[in-house]
Amino acid sequence: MAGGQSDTIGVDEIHPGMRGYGLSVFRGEVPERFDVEVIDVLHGFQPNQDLILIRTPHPVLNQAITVGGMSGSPIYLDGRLAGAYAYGWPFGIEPVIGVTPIANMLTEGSRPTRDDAFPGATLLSTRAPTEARLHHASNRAIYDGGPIDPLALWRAEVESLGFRAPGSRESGRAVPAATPLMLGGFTDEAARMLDAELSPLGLDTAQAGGSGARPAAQRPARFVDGGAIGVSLMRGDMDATAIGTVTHVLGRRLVAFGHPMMNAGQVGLPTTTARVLHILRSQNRSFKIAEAQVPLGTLVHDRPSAIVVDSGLVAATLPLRIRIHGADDAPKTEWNVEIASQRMLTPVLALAALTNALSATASDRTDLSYRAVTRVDFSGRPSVQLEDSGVMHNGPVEGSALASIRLFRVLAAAYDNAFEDAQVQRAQLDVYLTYGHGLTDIVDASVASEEVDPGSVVPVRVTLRRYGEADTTRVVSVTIPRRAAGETLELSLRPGDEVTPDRAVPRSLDDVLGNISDAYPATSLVVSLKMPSRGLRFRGHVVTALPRSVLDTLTTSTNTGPSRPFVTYDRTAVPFGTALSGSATLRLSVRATPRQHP
Amino acid sequence: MTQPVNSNPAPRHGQSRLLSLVLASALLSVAFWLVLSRAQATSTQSFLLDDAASLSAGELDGAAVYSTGYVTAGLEARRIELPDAAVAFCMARLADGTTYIGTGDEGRIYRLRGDELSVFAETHQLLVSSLAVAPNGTLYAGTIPEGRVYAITPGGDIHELAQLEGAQHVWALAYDARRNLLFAGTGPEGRIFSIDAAGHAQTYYDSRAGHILSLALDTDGALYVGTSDDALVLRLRGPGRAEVVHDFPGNEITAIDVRAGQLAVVANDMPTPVVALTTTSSSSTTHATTPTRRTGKGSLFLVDAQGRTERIYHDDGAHFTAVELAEDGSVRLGVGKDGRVLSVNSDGSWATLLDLDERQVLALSLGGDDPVVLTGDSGAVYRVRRGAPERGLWTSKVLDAQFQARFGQVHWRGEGTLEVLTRTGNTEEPDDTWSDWSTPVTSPGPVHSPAARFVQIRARFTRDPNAVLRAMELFYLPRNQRAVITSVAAGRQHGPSKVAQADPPPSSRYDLSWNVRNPDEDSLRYRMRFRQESQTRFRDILREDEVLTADHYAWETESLPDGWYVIQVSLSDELSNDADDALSAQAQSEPFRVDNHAPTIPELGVRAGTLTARVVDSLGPVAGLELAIDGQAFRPLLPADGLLDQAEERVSIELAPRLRELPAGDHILALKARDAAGNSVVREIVVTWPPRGQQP
Repeated sequence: MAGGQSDTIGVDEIHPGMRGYGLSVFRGEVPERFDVEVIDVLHGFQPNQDLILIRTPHPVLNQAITVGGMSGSPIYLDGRLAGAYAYGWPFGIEPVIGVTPIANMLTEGSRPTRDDAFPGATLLSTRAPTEARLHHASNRAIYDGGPIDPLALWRAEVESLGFRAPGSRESGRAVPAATPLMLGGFTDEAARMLDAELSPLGLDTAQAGGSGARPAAQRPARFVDGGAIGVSLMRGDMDATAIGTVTHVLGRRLVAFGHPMMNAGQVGLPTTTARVLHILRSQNRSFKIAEAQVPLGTLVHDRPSAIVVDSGLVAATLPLRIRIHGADDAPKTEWNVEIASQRMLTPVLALAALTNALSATASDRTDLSYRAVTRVDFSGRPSVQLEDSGVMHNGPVEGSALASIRLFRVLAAAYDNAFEDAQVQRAQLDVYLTYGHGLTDIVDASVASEEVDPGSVVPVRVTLRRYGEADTTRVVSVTIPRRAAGETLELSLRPGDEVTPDRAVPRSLDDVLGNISDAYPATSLVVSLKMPSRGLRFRGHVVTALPRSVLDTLTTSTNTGPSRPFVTYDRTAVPFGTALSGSATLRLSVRATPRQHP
Repeated sequence: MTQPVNSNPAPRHGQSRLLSLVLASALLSVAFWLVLSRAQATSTQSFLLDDAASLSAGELDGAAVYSTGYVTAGLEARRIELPDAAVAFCMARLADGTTYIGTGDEGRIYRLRGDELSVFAETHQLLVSSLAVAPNGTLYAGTIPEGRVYAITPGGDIHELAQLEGAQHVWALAYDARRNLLFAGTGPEGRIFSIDAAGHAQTYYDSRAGHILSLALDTDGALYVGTSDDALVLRLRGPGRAEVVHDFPGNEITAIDVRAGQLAVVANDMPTPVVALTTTSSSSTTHATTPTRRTGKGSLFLVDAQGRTERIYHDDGAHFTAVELAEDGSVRLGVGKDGRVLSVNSDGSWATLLDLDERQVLALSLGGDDPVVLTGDSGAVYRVRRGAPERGLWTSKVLDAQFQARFGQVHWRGEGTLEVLTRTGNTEEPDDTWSDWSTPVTSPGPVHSPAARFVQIRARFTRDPNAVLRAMELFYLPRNQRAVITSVAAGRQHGPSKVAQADPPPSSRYDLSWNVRNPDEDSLRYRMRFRQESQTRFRDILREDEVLTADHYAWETESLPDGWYVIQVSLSDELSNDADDALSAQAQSEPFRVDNHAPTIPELGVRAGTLTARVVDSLGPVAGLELAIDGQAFRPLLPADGLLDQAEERVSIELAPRLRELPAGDHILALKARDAAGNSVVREIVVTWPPRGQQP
């Protein structure tokens, strides 16, 4: 069908009882017709958007009611394109569907993209629109390199954008027909994680295939009206593709879905042709089982009435290689995936990929120690290499342990910093596994006398416990600063990964990455002496132990800046070689003057 | 002293009047006017500024205020902005007047030569915290937070001379030309390093203090050291050899200057900054929720060559940041609050020389031909000029007349020719709604600024650089404020009760009272009138010669017919104001009942064993009926219709139930009737029971 306006029918021409047809792929790649009958037009369904109510009397659809993956299926009335199959009602028992009028979709389809949005045809910027970015910055701290949990970050962001968990949907509201997210090559654990995290966005995960090599396409890939389309969040050894239907092809561009995917505005997510294997009819939810075919195009607009795809652009993706060492008997120890580049999605998808790789390679429910070596290559800046270590008490399903691997902080910084667009070329994560309880617990600490001399070196006896072994004692030497004379100090001993060094306020992405790199190893014991002095953070600098008059001067002089006085610590990191847990705290009374020794 | 001073309403003129007032008011005004202020709250008052505290409470621009209570022309300061510098922290000067300025928070060094300001070097550290110049012109810069010392050639080439081991902060540098050594006082381990020209640094003295905050090198080579967080001044005699000059009160020796064996020492007692202990995440980093500052206390000491130590100045409300011994033996003092520079003499007398816009003066060099001062918050350098003032302005603080006021004469006491100006406005902070400064006057006279609540006075010393201002007084008359009656209430008094526990009988006296809002606390006179509710004409309660100033009155209503009445209370502040300015206000009460007369029982009789009566009240309704038999207690009785709701009620009761148990014979029945105001009447009747003819 040609794409002219005369081939469309306006809402004001539609009346109850009109009959027509829709196009969608029920199996394979070729769209098939299904009958439709207009019930009525629901005016003002959404801002500036009506909704056409139709019945879809069809042997399959009569049972399936609302089918995830059919979103976007073009609906024709009077031989003209009326809109896209888009909305259904939870728990509906008759095949009544809401159709997004084509006029709204075509408006989005002709919407321009910013000049700087997609540098080149290969790498897409993931930068949000300028206005949105400013708004974003005012509501949430741009990531500055501090400790984060990528899942917590993701959930906060999802909540802040107003997405709601599926269970909170109201049965009386029309909701977008769910977009099935076809997962291929994922373990149950990883699939559950993705389902939990992505379902608030309207993405319903479904186990499918699609990972690994595919047979070559028999003809040049292209999109057709009513054909299946996928949005690839991840592809390669693992595949996560959101499935929908093309509503209308407009030359290089097309509109699809009839509703938003994540309502993310201007984005750059890779798209693909898709093949439908089956429509699964279910009382819970019906959806198309499909798999990605040939990568083609980029989702450039994710808007309320449609997604818009530019088939002439190739989206930027993050190539991620994960290698698992220490599980040599596993059938597969190396995983290569391409992850969609998007500020919110990329870190959480990378975590899902790691969780999946580990649970597929070493699914043991046992104590597992790991050492993770991260390498992230950027365009135009030095690579970042980091090493983390930790322990999983219950195998790789313990996602919280993996979340502390700093790969995710680097990705968060690269995709969401206040300074510049960083082009990540590739990332690699080598995970070295050691089976067994590799954790050493800090049980207790003691000193010979709580009264100590300023300037003296105090031996602190640290009692340690390893699983299956007798308690051991290690002596850590702590130097008492002379300036602590006359003070009572709190001395604490904690694992390195539980202590954050005092960090300067970053001035650049380099500073952010530096903050991420500047961390105590989890295999070190950090001895902290809480000092009576105060410090200040500045852009690029952190100052500790300031004299009081200078603190007064500098605090006030930066009153409009980020400087805030903080309590300072004298810290020493003692390498231990194994990951630590637990903590111990002592109080030391420092004499005003050292004792006179004969 | 700055306070509104009431004066007699009669106008006063002339210097002698002012002088006498100054002398008298200093001793008597507080007590005297505390007594009179209520009675004469809106009479003529004045602002009197005649001591160091009141004269220095305003702004100085080319004027100086002295501790003995006078103002003269002073130093003038011209501000030169330091672009992008949050703080100008330290300076070093060459003999030709070139000034190097160490700044934060970008770690730049500026050079001020003549009026040419330029970035001389960049250290890329947070703060250039100390500077020193060698005789060959090499500039040395100590920095924080990495304890680095830089050497900069006169051409501006910079290189790192040394990073001092264990040091984060380099608070002070002193170049000893005799030994060709640079001394660096550091923190937080309290070490002094010596650094040679090649950058070899070694610990020269390792103190027990946290910080070496100040160094001063005397001409004889003695190196004086000030410490923190104790407050010691040490004299270093050689590597590792020190003697304590004095253990000062407080916790910081923030600045030292030395001249021929005499030391000027700034010792501060700085409070520990308040930090809200809110631990963030697992980082164990604890932050204050907002930057919180508490005021330090500053002391200035002089230590003579014999070691005699004397405190010559102290301020409980501010700490000091910089010190300089002048050739005349006085000490210049930079203040860490209000941007002031003081000159303090050895006898403790002082003068405020400069009053800058910034909060803190951080370094000063007022000797020589080209004095300069540095400030923090924000970073600026001031060129200071002596001699005949170009501006020479003393400006009072904003003076508050409490209410819109008309301003009268401005008088001053002093010597020489002063120009005096005023401006007025109605906002606490002067802004563009204020009047312009008035045309200057050179002799006491009327103020020409418009009426307003707030006023400032300015004295200009440009016409006569030798002029002296000793006292300034401005008279004003606050605009009379209207008092308002906010409520009027009336309540009946009760007479003494003759029977224990009984309700006191109603009185014909009514307590009238009212509440008043009296913003200027004028003395108020009240007048009262009344009318019946149904009438329109008020009648006076008081005669015109009866002056009521209390906010209550006992009103006798015995002569009034019963009814509903309204009271109108009027107030006037004529007792405190001229008749033309006096203001009045009035308010009415809610209608209230005046009922001084009891009901009557015009009919009372017994017929056919039934007691009948008619009870009438003038205002009504009848509120209660009671019956007592033979002197027993009264018991309630209902009227014939069962409801007490009319001014006239009838009684009809059969006597048999009440009397059949009583002995046969005569009985006295007493009927009591009561109205709503509590007035009551009793009428009796003698009844023979059983009635004749029914007796057994």
